[in-house]
Amino acid sequence: MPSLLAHIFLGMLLAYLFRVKRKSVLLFGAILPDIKIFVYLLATPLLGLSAANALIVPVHSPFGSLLLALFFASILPKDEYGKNLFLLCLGVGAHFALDASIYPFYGIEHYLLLYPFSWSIYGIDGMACIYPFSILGLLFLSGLILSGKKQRILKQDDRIV
Amino acid sequence: MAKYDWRRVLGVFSLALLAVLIVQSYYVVPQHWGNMPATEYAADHLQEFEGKEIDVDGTATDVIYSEKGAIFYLNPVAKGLFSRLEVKTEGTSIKEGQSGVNVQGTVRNGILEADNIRVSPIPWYMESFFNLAGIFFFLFFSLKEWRIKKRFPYLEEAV
Repeated sequence: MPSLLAHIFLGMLLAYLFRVKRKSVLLFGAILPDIKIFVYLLATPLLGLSAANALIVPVHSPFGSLLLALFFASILPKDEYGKNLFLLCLGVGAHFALDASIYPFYGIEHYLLLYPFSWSIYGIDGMACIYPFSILGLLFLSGLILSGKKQRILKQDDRIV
Repeated sequence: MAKYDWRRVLGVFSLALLAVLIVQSYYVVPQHWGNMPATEYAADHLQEFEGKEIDVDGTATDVIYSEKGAIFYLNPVAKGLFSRLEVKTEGTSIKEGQSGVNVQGTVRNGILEADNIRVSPIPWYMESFFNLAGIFFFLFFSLKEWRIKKRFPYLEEAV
């Protein structure tokens, strides 16, 4: 899979592009399919590596992630159910767009985009772009934190003056 | 009759459906990519693909170099159907623990002769670093938003 950093970076870019107020919901959606790691860690000692590889397919699929999004949207505040569900789905969509761009690496579950309706594999060979993308993400997100700190310091200076 | 919130019902139903899919995948998924838990079993079945071009993707976790080339463990994923393969390598080194290894080749005499071996350009330690950085940034931005909303609800519009 592309690193979590790349997923968070893309989620943050979308949050700025669509001027999303609840960025945390979108960011959560962007890493939601990687909940498979918990399934993997649980299943490997109990059922073995091969079975664990099979079990992560439904979790790390657009359909499975949509089901997870429906669940998580239902436990978030009710008044913004539709908005939360949309943000989660947007994040999930961004996740799979990035995952499909690393074909043929990191396992088939990244390319089974129509599971459980089809076993066709969809992917683009864009692995060479992922490394620079991650570095760019590191710089962008660090810049966001630093600029936030700078603003806070400036506000404090204003209060002192 | 008690009234239930339809969103909660839908959420629980979604989770139940996902649980059914997970249980089902234990039986269904291996039929599609060939689940071979025993390495010896996989080595035996390699002969079934004699003369055929195959494509294997996985993680090299156990590399032993031999005269034939490299023998390494591969997760049973992608179009290939094996958990262990003998691969003839020429000028390509695959390190132990290397993630993101893709081999395309032809099976000859029970050995996968690789025409093309590709290794992910991102080294494993950079991948780990990026993952940790991703967790950090996620927690930072999410907790920041949550804390501001909780302490200063009137500022929610500004966040």
